[in-house]
This record gives sequence, C-alpha cells and structure tokens, in this order.
Amino acid sequence: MRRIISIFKALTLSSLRSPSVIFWNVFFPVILLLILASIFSNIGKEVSFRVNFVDESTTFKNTNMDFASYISRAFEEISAGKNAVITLQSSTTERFLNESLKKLKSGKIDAVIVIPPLFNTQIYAAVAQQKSGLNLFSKPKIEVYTLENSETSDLAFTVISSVLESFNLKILQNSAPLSDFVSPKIEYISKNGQNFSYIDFIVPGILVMAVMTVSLFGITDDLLVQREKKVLRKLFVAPLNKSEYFWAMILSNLTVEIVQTIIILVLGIYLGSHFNIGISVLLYIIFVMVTTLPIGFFIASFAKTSDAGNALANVLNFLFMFLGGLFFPITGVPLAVKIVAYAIPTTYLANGLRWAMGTMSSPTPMYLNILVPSIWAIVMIIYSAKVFKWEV
Amino acid sequence: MRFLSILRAMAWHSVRDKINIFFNLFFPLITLLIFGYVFSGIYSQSSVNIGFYGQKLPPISGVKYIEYPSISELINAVSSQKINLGITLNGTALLAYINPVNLQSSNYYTSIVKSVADEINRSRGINSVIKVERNEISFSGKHIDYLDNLIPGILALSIFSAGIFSITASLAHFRDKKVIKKFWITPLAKWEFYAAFISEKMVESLLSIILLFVAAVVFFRPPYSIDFVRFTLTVLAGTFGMMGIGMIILLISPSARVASEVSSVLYTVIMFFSGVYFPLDLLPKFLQYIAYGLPLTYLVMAMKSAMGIAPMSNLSYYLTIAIMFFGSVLVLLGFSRIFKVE
Repeated sequence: MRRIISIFKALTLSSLRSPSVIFWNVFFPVILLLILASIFSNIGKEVSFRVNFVDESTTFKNTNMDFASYISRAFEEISAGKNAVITLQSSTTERFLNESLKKLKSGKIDAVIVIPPLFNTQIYAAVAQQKSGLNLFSKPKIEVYTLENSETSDLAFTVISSVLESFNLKILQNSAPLSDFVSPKIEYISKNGQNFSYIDFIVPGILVMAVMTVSLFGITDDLLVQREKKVLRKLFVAPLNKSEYFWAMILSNLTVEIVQTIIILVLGIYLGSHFNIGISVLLYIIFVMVTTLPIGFFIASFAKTSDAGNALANVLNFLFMFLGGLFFPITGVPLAVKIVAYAIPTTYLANGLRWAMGTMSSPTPMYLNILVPSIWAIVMIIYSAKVFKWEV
Repeated sequence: MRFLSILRAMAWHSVRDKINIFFNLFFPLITLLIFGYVFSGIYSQSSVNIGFYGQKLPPISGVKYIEYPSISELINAVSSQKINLGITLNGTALLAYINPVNLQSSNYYTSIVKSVADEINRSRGINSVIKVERNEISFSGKHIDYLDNLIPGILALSIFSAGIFSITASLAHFRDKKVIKKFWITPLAKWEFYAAFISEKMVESLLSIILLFVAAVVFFRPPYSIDFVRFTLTVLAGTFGMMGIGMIILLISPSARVASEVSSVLYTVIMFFSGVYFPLDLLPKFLQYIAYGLPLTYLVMAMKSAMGIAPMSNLSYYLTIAIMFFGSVLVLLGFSRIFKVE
C-alpha cells in the first residue's frame, strides 16, 4: 500500500508539474465551456442588425392613411437609443434600393425592407374587401431581402417580421371580428422546470469530455511514453509490482478527474447553469469516470508506439466528442452517422449525466445509458488485459 | 541538382512518416467528414417531425405529423428529443413546445409554428392583410448553406495546421536531432536546404488541401465558383504566413516538444474564434475584437472569397495575401537564427 501511495504521489506531482497536462485537463475544458457558453448564450441578445428601409409608397402620403409612415416610425423607434436592436437607414429612392441590395449582397447590412408604391391604397382596399368578404384586389406585400445562410440576417428577419406581424394584427382587429383568430404561443420546456439555457446542456457535456480526455491522453501517456522511455522497465527493477503501478496510475488519473469535475461544476454554477447535485449525480459521475478509464488502456494496448497511440487518441477524442452530442444535439444526420453516434459510449454517458443532473430527459432509455458504456468498458478491459505488454 | 536530391529525400521522409501523413492528410479529412455530417444535420434539416395532441393540423411542406394520445406524452417526446417540436391547438391558442437544446433550429421551428397558425387562420377565413415576402439573396447567386460555408473554413484550418506544425514539429525535430547540423558538414548550401524544406512543405500543404477539397466535392457537392488564381495564392500565402507564426513559436520554445505543445494549444483555441464554425457577428463584442486580431480569421475570409461564396474587396484580399507572404521573411530570418543556434 505504501508503495502504491509513493508512486501515486510521484505520478500526481509529475502531472502537476507538466504544463501540457494542466492545460489540456484543466484549462482547456474551462476555456471551451466559457467559449461555447459566451457564443451560444449570446445568440439574439447582444446582436444588433443593420437594416435599410426603402419606402416607395406614393399614395395617401402625409395623410392619416399613410400606413407606410407608421411602419417606418415603428422601425425608427426600435433603432433609437444606445442599445438599439437595429441600426436603420431610410430613404425613398430607387437608387437607395439598388445600393442597399448591393450592400446586403456584400454583407455590409443584414436586411432590406421595401414598401411598394401602391402600399397604402392596397391596405385600404384589403381592409374594405375583408369587411365585405370580397376578393378583388391583390394584397399589400412588403418585401424583406435577407442574405442567404447568414444567421444575423435570419435573426434580423425574425425581428422585422414580428414588428410587421403586430401591424397585421392591429389592422385585422380593425377590419374583422377576431374571435376565431389563432395565434401561436411558444413554450420552451425543460426537465427541471426552470428557465433552460444552453449552459445547462453544455456543462454535463464538457464534464464527460474532460473526464474522457484524462483517460485518452493521460493513461495513454502514462503507459506508452513511459514504456518507450524504458521508465516502466526501470521501475519494475525496484521492489514494485505491476499491479501496484497500475493502481497508483488509476488513483493519480482519478485525482485529476475529481479536480476537473469540481472546477467545471463550480464554473457551471457561476455561469448560471441549473442542475441537481445529489447522490444520483455523484454516482453517475463516478460511473462516467470508471467506464472511460479503460479507453486509455485500450489505446495503450492497441498502439505499438506513443505516436500511434496519440494519433488513435485524437481520432477517438474527435469521434466521441462530436458524434456523442457533447456540445450539440445530433439531429438530422445520415443513417450511417446516426449508427456510429448510437454505438459510441459518450452518447449514452452524456444522456445519462444530463438526466441525472435534471437538465433534460434522456433521449435513450436509462438502462442503455448504463449498459452500453459498461459493455464498452468490459470489452476494452478484457482486450487490454490480454494484449497489453508492460515492456517492449 | 543538390536541391532536387534534398527535396526528394525530404519527400521520402514525409511519406515514410506515418504520423505526419496521418495528421496532415487523414486527420483533416476525418474532421471534414465528422463536422460536415454533424453540422449539416444541425443546420439544414430537410424534414421536421412535429408531434401533436388533439385536433388534426393542416399539412405543411417538409413537416411530418405524429399523433400523441396525451399532452404529457407529447411534452416527454419533445423533452427527450424524439420529435423536433410538439403542437396542440387549445381554443384559439396554438401551443408549441420546443426543446431549448435545439437552439440553432429554434428560429426555424418558430417560423413553422407560425405557418401552421396561418394555415389554420386561412381555413377559418381570416387572412393576414399585409403579406410579408422574404427574398434571400446570396453573394454568389447560388444557394449556399452552412456546410458550404464550413468547408473553406476547414481548408483554412488545414493550411494553418500544416504551416505551423511543419516548423514546430518537422523543423524543430530536425534541429533537436542535430540533423541540420549534420547537413552543414556536407557540401550542401544553406539555401538549398531551406528551399527544399519549404518547397516540400508547400507541396505537402497543397496536396492536403486538394485531397480535402476533392473529398468535400465527392461527399457534399458544394456549389463553389472557384477563382483558381486566388485559391492557389491563398494556399501558398497562407502556408507561408502560418510557417512564419510557427517560426516565432519555435524560436521562443526551448525544445521541439514544447513548440509542438504550444502550437497545439494555439491551434485549438484559435479555431473557435476565427469564424470557421460560428459567424463572427454572433460572438460577444470582446471576443469579436480578439477574432479580428487573429491571422486565421483573414485566411478564412480569403479562402471563402477564393471559393466565390463571400465578398472581399481586391484591396483587402491582396493586402491579406501580402501580409501572409511576409511570413516567408520571418521564416528566412528564423532559419538564420536556427543556423546560429546550431
């Protein structure tokens, strides 16, 4: 036991003295959590849009039926102030419209709103025919130009259409009885009943990634690099047996995992994540640690050199992180990718941990969240026990 | 002649180095395929599964309805991501349940719910007075989706890693193993060694980019209008520029191992801030300032411009290329410094 503790101390000290171990195991998960949280919690909050408003309407100008000017004023109001949602430029000329479309195409602005020449007359006619039940005239149409595949442009359109929608509703209320009018109401649901944010989703994902990284790179390094440098051979000349080194190594890696788990959870709470902390969470985190540890042994047994081990660890790390849905839910992917996603252990570990932390319901049954990672762990342990060589 | 011999020797060295081949050719390919499939699935869903409870809903193009026997089962299905969203019509309220985990698709789902409400209103004889028509325009005039934007970013990332690691891994390895020192004993001129090293790394970078591009075309069929002059200039200038950064890292690092570690850390952190995966406009303001100070951001812009999917004025483009080529000056200065160290 004393020898295990001595080796454990030596390995832990070696990890603490290694800047790369500290960076990849402690700082990297923290940085990633901060980056993803700041990017995705920011969506639609601090963003402001550059919108050009082209009013080509020519009828009923400067009268109380100049609906185009009401719409223009509404956009001017939301563009006023220091933290305005939009930055607005307005004009009535065709030249301005052409320039605006050019600017939109080159990404200098996010949207262009165009009010057509007969807009006010068409509104008047549309209200009249709505009241009479006739359908003689074409509807007034506002064109909104946006940039394809631009998220900022998409968000700008959402804001613009909600402003125009409120006008539509007002005009409808004045033109027809609206007892049957159906309006949509969006409800964001979460398992814990609190306001769900992306940070709630990402904290368990980052935790699984961090714990897995220790196994993928820490254990692989402890075994392959030390074996290649003949450190293991020298150690076993001393009165130390392989199982003692093995347990010391497990304890050392577990210590790093416990430290990173505490840091991630504390940072998650600081960033406003809502999750339960109870016995089930604790047990599942231990389960994540135990089932990911054999991955490192598997790589160390499969790869002949530390370089090959590093390459394999990088591939598995990538596959497990991005196909396991640790950062984003895996939806709409082709069947082949879905099969891989549902075959790897991190998918189940992330689902299980999110369920245990009360963040969301698990898309996979809970028994699979235990069974699949356990099968992976058992298979990798059996393979490693049979194949791994302590000396080369 | 000696230049060609040393070039051939370095090419053989690279081809025989399986780890080099893996990280320069196959790893970017794996990255492209994984990101390609995962992100295209997230951002460009072709059909949406909507669960509903109670009254039947009107058909909407691209929507598949699944009926649920109770409201709690509907909510559970949304919560556990079995369906994309759940809808129930309660009097005049069209209640839509959305799982906030799908934050990238949230706007899209909201617009679908609105279309369902519009359809119901239309069937009840209530029509919106003002019609809002959305016209999407693109720089290239072709339909560009998220994946089409991602591919040039991944190519730029590959140039970034090939450039930096060629210096911090390959050259540092030669330096630490005293290989360069041994070359100086031979009648080989220094410029021949430097030129052969740079040429070989350039060819390697170009091959890696071509392989990635062919894979992208085969698997994802992106609609690019490539300006081949700009494309080649971007690859060459980008590789030079990143080699320059690699040289700075190497000169301040005590060993090849440290240089390689520093490069890995830089690579991992920078790739999130350079507009490869997320549009820069969506970053918080302080992160945008960091992003616009990073060389990779400009390399991504130049690559998108070369592929004809994003605008970049001639002035900005050629200024970016000129600054990147300045990396070659850093590389040459670095070589003379390494020579002194040796």
